[in-house]
Amino acid sequence: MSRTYDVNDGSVVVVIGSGAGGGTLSNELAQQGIDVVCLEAGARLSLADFRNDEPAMAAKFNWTDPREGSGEMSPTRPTYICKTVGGTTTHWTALALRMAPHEIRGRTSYGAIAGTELIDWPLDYDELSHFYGLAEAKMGVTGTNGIPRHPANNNFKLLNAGAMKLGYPRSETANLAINSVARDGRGPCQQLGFCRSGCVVAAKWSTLYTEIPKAEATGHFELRPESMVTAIEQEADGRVSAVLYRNRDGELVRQKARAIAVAGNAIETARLLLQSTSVLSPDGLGNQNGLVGRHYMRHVFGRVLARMPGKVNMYRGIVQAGSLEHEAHHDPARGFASGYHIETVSMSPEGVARTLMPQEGWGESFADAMEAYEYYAGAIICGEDFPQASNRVTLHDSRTDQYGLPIPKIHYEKNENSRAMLEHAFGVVENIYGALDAEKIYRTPSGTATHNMGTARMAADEKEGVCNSNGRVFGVPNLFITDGSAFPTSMTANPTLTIVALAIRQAGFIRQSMVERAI
Amino acid sequence: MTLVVGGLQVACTGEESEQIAATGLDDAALLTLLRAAQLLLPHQRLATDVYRDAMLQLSDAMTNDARKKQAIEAGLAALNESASWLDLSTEAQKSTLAALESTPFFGTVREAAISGVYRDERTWQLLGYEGEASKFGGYLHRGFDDIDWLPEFGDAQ
Ligand SMILES: Cc1cc2nc3c(=O)[nH]c(=O)nc-3n(C[C@H](O)[C@H](O)[C@H](O)COP(=O)(O)OP(=O)(O)OC[C@H]3O[C@@H](n4cnc5c(N)ncnc54)[C@H](O)[C@@H]3O)c2cc1C
Ligand code: SF4
Repeated sequence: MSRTYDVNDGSVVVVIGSGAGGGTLSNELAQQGIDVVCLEAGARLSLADFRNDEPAMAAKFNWTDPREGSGEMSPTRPTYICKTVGGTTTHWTALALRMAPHEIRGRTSYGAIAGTELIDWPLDYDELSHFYGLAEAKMGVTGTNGIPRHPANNNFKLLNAGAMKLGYPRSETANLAINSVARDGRGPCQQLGFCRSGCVVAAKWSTLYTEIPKAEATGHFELRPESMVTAIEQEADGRVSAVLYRNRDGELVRQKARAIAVAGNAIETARLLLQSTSVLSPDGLGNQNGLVGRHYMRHVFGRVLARMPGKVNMYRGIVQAGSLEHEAHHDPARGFASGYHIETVSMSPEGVARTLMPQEGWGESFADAMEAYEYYAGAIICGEDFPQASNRVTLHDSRTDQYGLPIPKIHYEKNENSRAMLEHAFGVVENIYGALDAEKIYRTPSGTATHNMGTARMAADEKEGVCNSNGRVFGVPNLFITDGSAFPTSMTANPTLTIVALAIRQAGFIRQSMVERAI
Repeated sequence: MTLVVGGLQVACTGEESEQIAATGLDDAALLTLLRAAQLLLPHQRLATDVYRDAMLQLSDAMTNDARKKQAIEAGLAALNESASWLDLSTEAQKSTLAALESTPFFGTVREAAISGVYRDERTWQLLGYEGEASKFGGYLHRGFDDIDWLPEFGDAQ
């Protein structure tokens, strides 16, 4: 059962964040009998707190601490993540996709890309595949491990039909971490369509009701919600020894640790490393080459809304039921390197209103467009993004948040390759909807990122990255990165399955290092 | 109290009058915002109450947001600069409002109108959005896959 550990107990592994990365690592370690204290900034909700109501849930679990965006990012709301036990897995839409084999060797596959610092992943694809398999089994991904796929909803049937009319082959619904049949003590999906508001029937995988309670059941795990880590302390020998955090009463607490893993969702991970300074690391932990916070990636991203001649009712059923991968391959003849997915997405009336606004303005034309709500189909483009040193997370030099910490600033601009890719993708999606006689099509770039990667990347060469292939920070033998920060490239796939696979792999490495008394 | 704006009846209960009083916005100011919201999002079949509730929320939000309050006050003054805006013809109201498009007032009212009106279940009914699905067991048996106008491609989808 759930344990409590003393703050001076330096034998525990401290995990920061309880989302996809932190929740998974915690459970994997606890299952092996390793004592874990997980510090989570947000509060613990239960299924009974979930509502089919997007704004109400956003108020309950969104990360609303101030952040500043620049370049192509929204100045006030550059990223979308959750601050709650389970992190953004309470809100995510559960597409659980693997990276493609050519993507793991980005630099080798694509060659040099102007304006980017592209490198290969320091990992072997076959080995990663093994961990993908474990992650899929853990998360109950449809279309793997004998788990049936979901039936297609209207939004995906339409996207698929349009693609087929253009000559692309038929696609099945995507690999989703959403139960299609009862599994792992959780029931099947009811096609509620509120995946982003916390799945009230727990059909969708979230660490909140899978990894966290399983870790608690081992007797080797303590979760401390409403605990915001503000610094990691480093000793003269390079090792980290404790974290400082603000508890729910605002008191500063020091928890000792044998090893520390950071999984705060890229922005917060980089921020925490940058603000954890010591004699050995005056510019922040792992920042001896000035790379922490750099190479921020968010996927080449765009949204399309199409007004169709018949009703679609896109809001019914799984938000991201399908992903077309016809353009996911690498084919330089298209004028850019790598590729992209086209994934269905639904929007509430408010979401549609915000998408229509830039083009329809206000007044009659806007209201008419809104009254066609039932006729819209929606999709997003999710393409591979490459690392650029200038796309980065830094600490603000004057603004602080409620904890007294400098707020994070996020700068992002597309490079030549991403611009060409996005243009191509918008064209293809428009052709798909056009093939079914779409009446009007709206393109929207997005200033708010939902995927955050690259800010503490892994590399074979210490000079090119912040951590090694196990996520261990160079120069700090017992500090680990356990989220998308460690990705050298964004892949075309959405990030979470890879975050989970790497966390499982990392747990094995941490255990081995403990056995060998290396940490 | 019943107020009449541009032919639309707005019933105000005692409770709501108090809310108005608390913000320092007088009735005329609230009616001006309401009218502006209607011009921004003119759904002919949508009850005036929906717009009014959205603007009451804005008026509430103003009480602890000095920047919003300032934006609204400046905008109201600008709208009424040369004549009482509410007394103008619809066309004249629209052009006066359009002239303020780049002001914080316009942005604040539009944002409040969008979030207020499109989060309102009465609007959802008008638009055909069914909203909250858990109470009837989701769309699994209620048309998540009922699209019937797509071309056939040989095998079943
Ligand atoms: C709308 C939306 C849809 C998405 N859909 C998909 C999808 O279909 N497929 C996919 O693969 N991915 C999807 N994602 C992305 C997915 O949510 C993330 O990839 C995943 O949750 C990242 O895991 P993480 O552990 O890095 O971060 P999170 O899950 O965000 O967890 C981080 C946790 O760390 C906590 N934390 C941060 N800093 C501190 C600190 N200093 N101290 C203590 N706690 C801290 C936070 O409160 C949070 O709970 C989606 C995201 C969004 C926003
Ligand atoms: S559509 Fe399925 S996964 Fe999404 S909220 Fe509903 S039941 Fe959960």
